[in-house]
Amino acid sequence: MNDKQSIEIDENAVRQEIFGMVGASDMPPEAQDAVLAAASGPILHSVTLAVLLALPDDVRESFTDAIDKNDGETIQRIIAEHIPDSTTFIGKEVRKAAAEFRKLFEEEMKA
Amino acid sequence: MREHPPTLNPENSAENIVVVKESADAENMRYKSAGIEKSEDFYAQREQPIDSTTSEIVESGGWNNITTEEELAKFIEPKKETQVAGEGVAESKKVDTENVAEKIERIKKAAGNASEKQEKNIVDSAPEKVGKFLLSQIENYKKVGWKKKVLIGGGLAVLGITATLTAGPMAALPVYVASRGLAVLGSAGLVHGLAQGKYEGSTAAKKATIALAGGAILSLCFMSATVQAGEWVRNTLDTTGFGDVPVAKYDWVETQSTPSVEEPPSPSPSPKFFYVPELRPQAHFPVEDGKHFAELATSHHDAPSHHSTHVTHAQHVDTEAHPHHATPAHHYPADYDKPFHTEALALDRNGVYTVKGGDNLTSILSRGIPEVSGFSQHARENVIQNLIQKMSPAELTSIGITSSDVDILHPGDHINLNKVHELITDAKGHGVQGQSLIDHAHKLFPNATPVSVAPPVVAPTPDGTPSLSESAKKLGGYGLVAVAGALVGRYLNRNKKAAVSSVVGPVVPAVTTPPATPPITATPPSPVVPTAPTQTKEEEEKEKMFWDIHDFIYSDFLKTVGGKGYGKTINFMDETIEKADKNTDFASIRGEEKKFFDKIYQKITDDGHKNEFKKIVGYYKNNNNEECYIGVHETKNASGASKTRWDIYSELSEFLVKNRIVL
Repeated sequence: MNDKQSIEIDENAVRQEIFGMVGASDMPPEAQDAVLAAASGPILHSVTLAVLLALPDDVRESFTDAIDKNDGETIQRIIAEHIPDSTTFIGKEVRKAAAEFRKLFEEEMKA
Repeated sequence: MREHPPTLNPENSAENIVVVKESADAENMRYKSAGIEKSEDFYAQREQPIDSTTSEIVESGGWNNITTEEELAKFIEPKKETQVAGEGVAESKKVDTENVAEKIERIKKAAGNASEKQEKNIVDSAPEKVGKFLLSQIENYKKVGWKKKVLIGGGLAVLGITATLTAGPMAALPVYVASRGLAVLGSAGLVHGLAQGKYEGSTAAKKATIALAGGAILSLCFMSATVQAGEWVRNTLDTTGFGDVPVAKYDWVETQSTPSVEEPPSPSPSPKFFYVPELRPQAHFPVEDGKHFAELATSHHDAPSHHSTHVTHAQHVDTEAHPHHATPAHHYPADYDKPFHTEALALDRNGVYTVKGGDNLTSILSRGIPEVSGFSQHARENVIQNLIQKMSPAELTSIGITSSDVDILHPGDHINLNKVHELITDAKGHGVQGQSLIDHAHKLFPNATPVSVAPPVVAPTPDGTPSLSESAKKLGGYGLVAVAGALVGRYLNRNKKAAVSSVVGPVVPAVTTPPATPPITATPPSPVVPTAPTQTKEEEEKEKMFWDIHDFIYSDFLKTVGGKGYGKTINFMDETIEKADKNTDFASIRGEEKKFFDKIYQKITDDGHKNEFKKIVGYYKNNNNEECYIGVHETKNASGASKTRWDIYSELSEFLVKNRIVL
């Protein structure tokens, strides 16, 4: 098996993982899209909040300003400077947010 | 293990129900044991009386493969008209299908509710000041149409897309840019996370976390409107831990994109889910990207339309209608982030445009509004997306949008561009911060050049023949603009203002070949009279070179390549390509593109520049110890990443200009 094939297989596995995280594993594709789209906003906002809370007070404003100003370089720099192992940190926050979404989503489905 | 297909008794549906129900129960147990809850509707569908459809499923063994309601619907839906069990059963199946649709709607609603609740929780849990900021982001997010979020779809792409729209004044980046661009970025995070060697062996969960983090970071960071032709993307990937990966290993998989013109419903919607990214620079060129997809949609409707057909046609138009030295100057941008060509629309005398297949609102407004067409890409999109967001339903109707979704235009719709012009120049009702949308965009994007005059020169195309640039864009899409823009930009930058004045001259509205009927303007004309530049001999040579390169890009390159895959890293190219192909899965230059490259290679080496050529495109020896040009691992761009088509074509173009090599 070459690399290309192995990557494709991994993608499928990860896809299922992501759908599983938001509670859409066994849904029709259209529904999976919808669930993921719905989850994306809260996930990003959760990450944003987590990053903001992790930043020193005097940096928060710079960070929000950077977001408002579309200043991607500053956003990167702030994250890199003030959040150790930012990938892991954000990854965990994404998971937490996705889990929260799933819980709420399942409650809504039962309602 | 399912037993032998049961013998069905068409006279006794109750008996058959038992057979199928047993099978369904076993199947359902599988779901439940896996912790998967399915709706009662889903189970109920499997308990329908057996008819020919159900029988077919059972006999084919297909039942084992049905795991979703959609798959079930696939079996049911096409059989409606051939039911053998009579109208009652057909009606029953119709209800089943409706149930599937209802279920999906219920899921959407539940997901939407969950999303709202979670957003509220997030704001509530945040300190007051942070909460206010998040609230503003969430409000921005709500402006994004649900359908767009869903249609764009696809794993992290969706996360990236919609997430980005929440983070910052997304008016600065149009929805379409964000959606398409972030689709790439989000997926880039995903695939890079997967591909990076240090994560090999990780669990899918670990990889997903990495990918999600990458997507989220990329989403946060995408707000910069100064992304430079993919360089920023690569830098971002590097800094977020996803860089330095041979991106050429992935093919761009066209996924379900937002159709610009409503398509007939597919009996079995099965969108592919993942964008497998090229890190290409098209984030800069959303309209062209959009047009690219619009083109695909058009081709879908107008089969057997094909790229090669369009290529030939474009060339034909180019030659006959637009002798290159008479092509209007404003077709050629000073830089790819500065104004570039937009094609005038065929309007009626009231400034109304009739929608055609492949159109979308953004492209129509871009081409139909003179002030907008004079802007840079970002500025244009800013104006248009601001306008779309600010228009009330009544105003949408007044400009001719009859659908509740501005993304959906119907061929034959009439878009009133006079009305649109009024709206975008109105500083009060539709302005931003007391400025008209035009002024606002100009402030945001200093490079934007408001066309003070520029009435839209109407270029009637009574026979529906696409214009040069329209055809070319369909062919080349973003790539056309990217490469041509980079080329021209570099050329002009090097030659500073003298070249700008001598080659391009002032930005003026399109001057096309005389139309069959007198042009009709959407706004009162007040033309800018271009000043006739006085050219020196050197400037004349530069101009000639400019046009030569222009033809080279527009005619040869796009004719052969079709504008696809600019962001992909090129692996191999030379006469040994066939052999090289046998030793790698990643060779990505083939066919017409290879011929095109051969032509460049031949010309450059004839002129004694072989070494320079090898330096640009890279040098590689395959497993047979044969020389291959363009080795993915051998060529690095300024940021240290492997070169892409973008890099290589740009450098080659610059090289050709620099050395005055005319193909």
